[in-house]
Amino acid sequence: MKTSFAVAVIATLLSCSALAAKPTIKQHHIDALGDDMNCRTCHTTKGAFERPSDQACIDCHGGMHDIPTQPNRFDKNPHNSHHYEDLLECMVCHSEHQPSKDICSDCHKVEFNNLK
Amino acid sequence: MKRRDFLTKSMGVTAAMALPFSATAVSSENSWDREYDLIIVGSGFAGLAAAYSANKAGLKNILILEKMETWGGNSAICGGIACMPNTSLQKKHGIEDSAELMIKDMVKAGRGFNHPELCKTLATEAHTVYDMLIGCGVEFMDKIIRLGGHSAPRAHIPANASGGGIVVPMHKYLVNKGVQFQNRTQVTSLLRDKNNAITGVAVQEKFDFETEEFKAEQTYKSRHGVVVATGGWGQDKKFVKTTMPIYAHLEATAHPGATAGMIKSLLAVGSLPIMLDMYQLGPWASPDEKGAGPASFFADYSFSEGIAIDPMTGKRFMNELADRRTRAEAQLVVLEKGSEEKPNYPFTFCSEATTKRAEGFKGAYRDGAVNKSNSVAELAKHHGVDEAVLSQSIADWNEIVEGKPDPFNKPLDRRTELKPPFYSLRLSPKLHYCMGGVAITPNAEVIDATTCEPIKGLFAAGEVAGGTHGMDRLGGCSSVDGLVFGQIAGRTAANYKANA
Ligand SMILES: Cc1cc2nc3c(=O)[nH]c(=O)nc-3n(C[C@H](O)[C@H](O)[C@H](O)COP(=O)(O)OP(=O)(O)OC[C@H]3O[C@@H](n4cnc5c(N)ncnc54)[C@H](O)[C@@H]3O)c2cc1C
Repeated sequence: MKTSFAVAVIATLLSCSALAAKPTIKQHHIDALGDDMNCRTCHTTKGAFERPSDQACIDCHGGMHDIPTQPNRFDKNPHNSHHYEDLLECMVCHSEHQPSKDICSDCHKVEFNNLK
Repeated sequence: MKRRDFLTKSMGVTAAMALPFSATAVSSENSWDREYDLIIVGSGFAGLAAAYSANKAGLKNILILEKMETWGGNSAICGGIACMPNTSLQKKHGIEDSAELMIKDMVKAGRGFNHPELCKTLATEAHTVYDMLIGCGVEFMDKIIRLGGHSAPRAHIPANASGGGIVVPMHKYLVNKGVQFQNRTQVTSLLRDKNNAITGVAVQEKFDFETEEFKAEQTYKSRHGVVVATGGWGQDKKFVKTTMPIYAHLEATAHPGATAGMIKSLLAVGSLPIMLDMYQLGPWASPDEKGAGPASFFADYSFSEGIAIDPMTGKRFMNELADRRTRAEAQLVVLEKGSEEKPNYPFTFCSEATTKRAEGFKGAYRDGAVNKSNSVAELAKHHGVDEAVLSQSIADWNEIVEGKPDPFNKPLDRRTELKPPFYSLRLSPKLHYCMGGVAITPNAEVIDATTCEPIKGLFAAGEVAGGTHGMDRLGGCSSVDGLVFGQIAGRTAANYKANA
């Protein structure tokens, strides 16, 4: 179903209210940053909350070339793939508040034991 | 529709009746949220080539819109094989070829339904594409292969055997030139002025393809008209089913975003549709992988040096290098002999020597789509064929390799004896390419259905445009189609002045 702007706004308001469950943070981020981690660590835009930009990830982690994929059974290297090289935004595969999902598996057999 | 929801909810029903967004909306000059020199919709081969030539022609403020998170649509996931006669690489390999020969091949595959001027434009300008790509930093393998239906080896393969090997360098080249890319932005309609010239687009920003949610609706003005390069709609089950019901059950090879939204918007502004019910089936597709992956790439080599067999008869049943429609139809006949309980998948196989040359082999073998058999007996057992007939078919083929005439007339560029171990792949055609689209002129202007003349300010290139390939296209010709007509669309748009 398509959602209108108005509905989206209401949903956003709800999710920010004290009543809504706090979005989960992944353990590796808590381990690394502890109390230093807050919403604005990733959601860096002023004012309205936005989906984090790549830069927020890159500032800590470096670019894709700095983070080679671990060797894996199907020889897939999403941080330097034949189709996209380093062109894609981190958020295409990586999520913080829900499980990450590699887009390779839309077409290929893959196995990433360390997908964060 | 979503706009209507919004208006209805926020302002009440009366306001909603004065809808600013409908397919036939006349845009008011003052209401634009943003303005550009040129807006290109779609970030695949056609869109990139349009930006390339528009930039060369001197346009400054160019925007490429992409509805997905990923860049490059089918162009990025495709094999990137490009059939171009008369390139410097083809000449270096000493191959005799010409645009005329390629036109003949294309018309034969297209069953004569090709629009002659479009077909001619593609073949004669293909070599300029090669030069453009090299200029953008694209690297090709130092070999030229022959795909089915081509009467000369003319297929160029990107160094990484993927369309990404073209899309990524072009994308980066264009970013360097100042071309702006904006993803997660779905174009919902083409906007026109009171003279029916296309002047801009309505978009949904921060569009999420999975949920179809978006953040805002905006209108963008484009001073030089709009280039539509949105590709095919193979994943739009409803549109495929409505236009060609008997293909509705087939798996499609296209990327998830290959849906029919933009072809509908083109029709809504009065574009002339052609061959919308024509689809190409890929004859190298396998039921043992998703879409068209490494196994399909491998199949091209197995077809070229090995053979394909009907398990029911144990015999060859087609020229393995015929055009795609010929092969897919032959395979469907073989498949139809089977049943759900006992399917009769045709299969292709080759010798180990062939696998050494074949891009895709490693992945396809590792992932289980390609099977290894150490003897004829093993191969026969694996595919449920009578061993004696299969043995005979292999012996017959090896005589052809030695020089005996082939009853199927397959061209043989490389003679490789068929001997164990064999590597085999089951086949089953998949829906691969939308033959139809909007009618365009050789200058990539979209044609109006009511006047059969160009619509002012509307240009289209690539898979969303129809006619070039007639009823069916040859392999490695779609990349070139998008790149040739994309270049032309960018040039035509640069020369086009609104209100002129
Ligand atoms: C698996 C596979 C392998 C292939 N291999 C080859 C090959 O080796 N050689 C060859 O010549 N051809 C091949 N083809 C065919 C070829 O890849 C495509 O026909 C070609 O890439 C189409 O290019 P395009 O620029 O027209 O469209 P695409 O590359 O599909 O780009 C269109 C883009 O427009 C976007 N879009 C659509 N609608 C909207 C909208 N409303 N708003 C904003 N954006 C929108 C899409 O998301 C997409 O990214 C292959 C196809 C597939 C699927």
